[in-house]
Amino acid sequence: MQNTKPIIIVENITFQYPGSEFKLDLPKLEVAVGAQCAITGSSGCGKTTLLRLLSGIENTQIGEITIKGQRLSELSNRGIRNFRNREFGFIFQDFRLVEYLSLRDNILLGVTLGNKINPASAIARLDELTNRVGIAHLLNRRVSKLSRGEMQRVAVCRALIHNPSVIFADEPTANLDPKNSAVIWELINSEARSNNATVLAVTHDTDSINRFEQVLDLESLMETAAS
Amino acid sequence: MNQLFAIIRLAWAYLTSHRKQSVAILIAISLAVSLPIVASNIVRQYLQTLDTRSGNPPVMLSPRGSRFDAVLKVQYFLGESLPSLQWQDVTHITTNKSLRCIPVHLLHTANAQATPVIGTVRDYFTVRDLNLHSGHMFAQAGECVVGALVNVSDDVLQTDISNPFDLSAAPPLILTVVGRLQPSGTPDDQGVFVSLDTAWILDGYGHGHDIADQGTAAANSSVLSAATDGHRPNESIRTIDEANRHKIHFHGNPNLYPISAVLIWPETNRDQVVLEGNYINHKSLQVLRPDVEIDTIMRYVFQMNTILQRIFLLLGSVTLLLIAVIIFQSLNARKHDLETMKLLGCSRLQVFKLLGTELFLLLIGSALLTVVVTAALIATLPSLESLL
Repeated sequence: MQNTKPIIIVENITFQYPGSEFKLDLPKLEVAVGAQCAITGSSGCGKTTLLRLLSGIENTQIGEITIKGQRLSELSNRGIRNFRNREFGFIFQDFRLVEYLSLRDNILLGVTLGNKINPASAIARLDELTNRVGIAHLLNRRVSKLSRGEMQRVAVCRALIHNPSVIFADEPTANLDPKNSAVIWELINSEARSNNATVLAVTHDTDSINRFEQVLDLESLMETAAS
Repeated sequence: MNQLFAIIRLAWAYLTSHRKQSVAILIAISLAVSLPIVASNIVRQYLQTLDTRSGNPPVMLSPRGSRFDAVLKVQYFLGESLPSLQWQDVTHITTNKSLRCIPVHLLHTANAQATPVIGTVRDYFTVRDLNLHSGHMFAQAGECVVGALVNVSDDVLQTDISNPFDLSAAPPLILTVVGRLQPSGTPDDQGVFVSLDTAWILDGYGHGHDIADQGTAAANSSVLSAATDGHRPNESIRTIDEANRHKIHFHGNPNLYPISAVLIWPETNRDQVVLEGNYINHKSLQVLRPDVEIDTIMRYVFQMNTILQRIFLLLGSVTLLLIAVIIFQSLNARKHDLETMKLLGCSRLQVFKLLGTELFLLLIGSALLTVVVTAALIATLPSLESLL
């Protein structure tokens, strides 16, 4: 299933938050289409920053990131938003669900307020995904009334609703028990496999790491570059 | 289209989940808009009412005193009772054949002081252009004709006790309603009209009783205290009908019976000028022009209206400022949600559409509430006349 052609190409990027000592230097990184990669490293080594750079949320100060043949630096702010909306699925550590909205509206939020996604196909996929993770009966319930496990499933469904080419997952199971963690990883990996989507997931958990075909230790990558 | 509905649903979800904030904004906007509308509506109605009879009659004769009070009482039945002139003043002025004179007696009320009882002559209806809707004009003592808006049950209407603290005061009468006037859009719609005889019976100058019931001598506080034949029967007739009408009689000197004012229509301007000249130095009576007094009142009302509108403008500005603060604060509180939309790659335009839709729904709701509040206030608020 996995294609050797890279979907993500990182070349000599440097990034530093204003006023921060920490600096992310990554000379080279290539991720193949359909790859399922775990990104590991100690806390504060820049894993989340890397995901934010790859997804275009932050802009690199030096270097180039190319995703699906598109150089992110060539895109305008609007272009980056559209690209992210169309091509990426993002699962945040803190879920980032909108509390006053129903489960259905949360999952469809990026579709409703996006520009490039066909709402009809997304709505058809909504039933499929929510049935699969066992939250179809909660579609009209407000997110604020869900358990953490249910919230995480909603966040995963939201990231997968538009069949993204790349799924970024930032410690998606950090606060979940092993059973719920397994459900979430199974869903992410199987959906990615069936759509030939690439997965880049930050995780510390050994059980979770074992589920990935490829493990990228960010600190090693940066040290190699330094040496 | 589907996307539009979806955005409306998202906006609705936000507004309903922040119910208190949304309701506060709705109420603030609708009150800020409806109060000035209601106020100017009341003022307009008041000015219209004032205007209906500002020049009709051209002049009136009243006891010397506050000209505003006299005009408001005689033309609009507003305010407290005025001092009275005497019937002999009326007979004196009616000797002048170039003046059409209509006496009015305005000392009594009915329906717990909500309805003025106007003692007058039948010509009043002609000069005021009042027509009967049903029944006939009053012809005898104890009968009344009611204005179009007066509440009546069982075709009778009881007058109010003239002074509950005065045991010697004449008892109230139960008037027989013999006719109802067509609506005229004037204060007459709220009035009960009786003959002068009936009005004087209400004063206590006339009454009916059995011959044997001579009761007691008129008390010092009684209107008949100066009359040599005055007395207070133990049981006066309360309802005048065919069986007891012959028992009604009057005491005292009729020339001294009270009249509140005389409405006067001079034949020519010259007659009016002469009349005004005749009374210019009169010790106890004055001739005044209602239109002049009403113009002065209207100027006051206009000034008050202007002040009110400025106050409302100021309040409206403060309200808008507060709403802007609320919206700004709510945007601040939603920073996390808006950031999430950005992270999901939501279009900036669509996010603006969402926020705009929320504001639009609030404005639509406010407009609907404004219509309801305005209509309810206009329908239920007592008119300015009754407030006065």
